[in-house]
Amino acid sequence: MDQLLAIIILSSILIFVATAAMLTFRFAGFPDLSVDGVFTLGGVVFAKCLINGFGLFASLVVGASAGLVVGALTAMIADRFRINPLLASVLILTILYSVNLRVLGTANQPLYQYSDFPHLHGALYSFGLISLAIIIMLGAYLFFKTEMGSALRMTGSSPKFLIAVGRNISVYRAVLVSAAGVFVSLSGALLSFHLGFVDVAIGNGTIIVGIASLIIGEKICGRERLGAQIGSAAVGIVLYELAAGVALSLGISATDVKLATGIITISLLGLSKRDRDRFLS
Amino acid sequence: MIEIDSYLKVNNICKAFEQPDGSQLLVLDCVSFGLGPGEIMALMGPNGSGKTTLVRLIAGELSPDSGEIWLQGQNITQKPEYQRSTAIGRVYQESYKSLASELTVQEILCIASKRKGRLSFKFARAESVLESVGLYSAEAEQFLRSHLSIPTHLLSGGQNQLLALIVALLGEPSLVLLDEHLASLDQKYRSVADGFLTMYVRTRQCSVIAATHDKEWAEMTASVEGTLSNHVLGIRPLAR
Repeated sequence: MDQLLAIIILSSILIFVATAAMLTFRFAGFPDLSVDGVFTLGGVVFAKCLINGFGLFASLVVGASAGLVVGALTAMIADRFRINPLLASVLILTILYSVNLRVLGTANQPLYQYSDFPHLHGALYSFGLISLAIIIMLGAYLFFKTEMGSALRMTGSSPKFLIAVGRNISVYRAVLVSAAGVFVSLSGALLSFHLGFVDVAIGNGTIIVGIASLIIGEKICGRERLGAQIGSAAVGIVLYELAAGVALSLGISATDVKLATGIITISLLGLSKRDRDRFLS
Repeated sequence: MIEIDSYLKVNNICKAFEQPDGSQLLVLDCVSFGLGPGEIMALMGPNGSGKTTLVRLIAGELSPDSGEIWLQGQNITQKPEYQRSTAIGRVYQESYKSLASELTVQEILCIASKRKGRLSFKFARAESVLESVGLYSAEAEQFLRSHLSIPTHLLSGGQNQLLALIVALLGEPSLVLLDEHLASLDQKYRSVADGFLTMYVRTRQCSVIAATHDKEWAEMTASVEGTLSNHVLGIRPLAR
């Protein structure tokens, strides 16, 4: 039971990474590979703010805002210099390796002593994190149902339509990539808080968590309707973390967990629709 | 042929494309014409004569090598495509590109009707758009009402094309560019599309350029015939 709760809490933190993958890959048509760096940036900026006495809430807000700046920069570089989004985001990822080290000033940093907020791992803490995830996902669903939201989510799939009705898709793309940056760095800040420390390698492999979760979720929920598309991020991240939990409970060492989850993810993706329906029923 | 007070003026537009061997393929050679408000030009010519290229140049999808394009007294030659779209409605040759396949008809109507304004943070409700379409064609309004909640990827090719035409006319464009806008329509939808287009143009006095191979449609509906041949445009007024 404790393990299940731990998986749900971790999923509530990492759901923002899966949502960010949805915003960039699905809505913006902008494959953003800077996720690992932005995730770490959220953690290190959060840590630095906490160390400097900003308080928990303000530190989370500043940590999340760092992703906004980086997202906007990535989109701007790709748009202004006409660089392929993959290359632009990999360049930003490379730059962030140095930036993150410079901001934190060390390779890792414990945070327990700097937080006056009791590091709760009780019911209130779990409820708070799960509620935050549900509220933000519900907010995203409601926003993307509006006129503005509907137009934004067509940026990648129907750019000609948007241009033909007078919309600037460069701005739309920048908005989506920046919003994804906020989600990713918020996730990084929350994980640093949850773990009670930050490490410059904390974001390694996060991009795979986001993309794999999204694809697993879409395989199960589909992406025909907006509710299913947004729900797929939630379902996908829980399944991904479950796969990681199963791998650990089978006695696989922590260093091999990413290898195991990778293989489980490939197996899930390789299931045909008929196999999947039979498996789920 | 260019009138000083033309609604749309195209002055000496030239366009060539670079071929793989480095040579230039001339498509349009100093094309000039003017179009007044309420005029419909049937842009004709054989395949490869440059009809779609001319439409794309006016829409801003391509830049001319030389020449100018003026709309309502404004030089729009350097304006980006999305800015021109606030005044120009368009149906692409591949009509699905004129729509967003994952959105419902209602959502598309709401977004397209805000061509000149800001999109709202309200849920899409198309009632006022439907009423405005109904002013010009009850059949077009009926078509929209019966498909309102359907995502456009579930519509047939003909339904997509009719919807694309209606969408191009939403938001009060000054100029409408149509590229083979009747190609997939059966007799019933063709009559709805024609009725809506002619009534809209007559009432709103916008200009239309329609690239087509349909000589019969041109003679029935258009007021001007423009024929592209050997990279130049010949203009012939049509008596209706």
